[in-house]
Amino acid sequence: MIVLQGVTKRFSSGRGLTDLSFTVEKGEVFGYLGPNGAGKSTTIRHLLGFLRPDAGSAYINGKDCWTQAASIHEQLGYLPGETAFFDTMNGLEFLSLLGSMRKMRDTKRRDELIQFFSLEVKTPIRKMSKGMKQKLGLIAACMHRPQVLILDEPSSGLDPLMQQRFVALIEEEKKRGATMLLSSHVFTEVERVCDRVGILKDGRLVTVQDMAGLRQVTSKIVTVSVGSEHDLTKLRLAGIPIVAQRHHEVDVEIKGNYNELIQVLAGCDVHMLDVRPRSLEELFMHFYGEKEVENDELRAL
Amino acid sequence: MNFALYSSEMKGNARTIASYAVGMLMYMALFIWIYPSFAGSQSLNQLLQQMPQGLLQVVGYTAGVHHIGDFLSGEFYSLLYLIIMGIYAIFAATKLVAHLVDTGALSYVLAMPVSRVKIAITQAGVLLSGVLIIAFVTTAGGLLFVAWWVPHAGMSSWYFVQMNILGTLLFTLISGYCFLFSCWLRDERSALGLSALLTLLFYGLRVIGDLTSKFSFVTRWSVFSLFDPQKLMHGQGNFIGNSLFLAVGTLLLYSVAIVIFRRRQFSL
Repeated sequence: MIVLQGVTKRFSSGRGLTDLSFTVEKGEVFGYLGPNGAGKSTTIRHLLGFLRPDAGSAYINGKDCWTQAASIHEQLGYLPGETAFFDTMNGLEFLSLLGSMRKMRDTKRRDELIQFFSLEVKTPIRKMSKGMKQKLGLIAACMHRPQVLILDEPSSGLDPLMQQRFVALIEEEKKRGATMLLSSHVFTEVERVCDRVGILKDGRLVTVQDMAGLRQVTSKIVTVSVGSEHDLTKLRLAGIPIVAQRHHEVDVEIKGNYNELIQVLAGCDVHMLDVRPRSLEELFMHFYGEKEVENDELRAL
Repeated sequence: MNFALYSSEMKGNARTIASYAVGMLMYMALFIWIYPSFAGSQSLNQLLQQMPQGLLQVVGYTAGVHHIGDFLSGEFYSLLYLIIMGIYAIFAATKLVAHLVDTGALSYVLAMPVSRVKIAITQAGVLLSGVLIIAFVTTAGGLLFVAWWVPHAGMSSWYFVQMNILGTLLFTLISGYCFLFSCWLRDERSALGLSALLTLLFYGLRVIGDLTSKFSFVTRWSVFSLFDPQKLMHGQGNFIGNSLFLAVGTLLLYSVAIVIFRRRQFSL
């Protein structure tokens, strides 16, 4: 559905994309992860036909993203990373404009989405908060029931409740059969909804992993505060890797072996327990580091 | 042309266009209203006769003031008209493309199933509509006020209309290069800056050429030399030739701008 073949783009700043190739299958939700400046938005601009690659091509639905952009856009919903609108309008006028540019007569889905996000659409856009603008952008992207959705940092600016709504929306769209590409620099943002994840750094794709595989290789850090030194010894004896210790509080690393930890902790006096996922940087180091090692080995040969 | 975008843009710009048109009308009304107090006195012509020829060309009074047409072409069309129309063309052209690129709002428009050429034609249409509306209101207002307040002042309505047609075409051309800069340059500030600079340069060249006979050749490099309101009010000046030149120039500039917009890469 979405295909990139050797897309290369150089900017005068030296940044850009290098030989980028990946495919998003029909009906799949693809997470596109990378730190700021990695080239996520640049990739998306190529898919939207805003930029022309120096080499390689990008296709959506078999159509070339640069030469057949207008035709692709009939079945495409897009949420830009920067939320900029026509400031002179209110939300409803903006949605009506996009609707009539799409020659969209049926406004049922649009009205459903407005209700779903409980957005005050009659508010002038210049008076809207970042979160309201983000909702407006999401409604604009989904209101015509597109086959393909490209969302650049979709849940940024949304409060936790609305993030839940967002996840529900993605699940609904997925059920409908939409193909999606979601970019983010926060792993947890895409973790819940994506089937596969691609990790980008300095314009290169570091890895593409399916979510199940990624969960196995990604560890979580569990912070536990226990009552005594004796409890800590129990943890050590069970072979649970302790990565940091502050008096009776320790950080342990868990990689899928939850049962083991829970069984040990059942016999301990637990004062506090907190689980935090590995940050994107750590996750990214995991893959990038691996690759570096591979390269070094190759060089040694 | 995409009509949904056109009508939305026209609605968004309606207030600006209306205020420019009303501003023009008010100045026009003011000039026509004060004309009778000048008409009776010979002192204005005496004063003008004492002024050097170059200065008279700059202020647009080469033919003296013998009827309201002279007065309007000299007082209104040689300066105020140019300033108001110029400011409108420069600001509107910048707002219609470069501003949208700068704020990023263009990304929504470009993500629609409408070709880039159609989008560019629509924005050009909005800009040209504004110029035409303001020019039309000015022309109609002028004719109306003269007929109403000074019906026996001896103004040729046809020559007045000719002067306005050429003035309008001058500004469709000016809006053309402003639109081109708006489509071409990276940001709003450079588009606005270059449009204003080139327009001032053209105006400056005409002033220099008019002031000193030694440099009169530089006038030819200025688009303003194609619009001589005083001559036009006397049925002189190459109305058809200049109109054609300006119309073709306008078409060319807009076409180049549309091609640039189609090929441009946007980091939106």
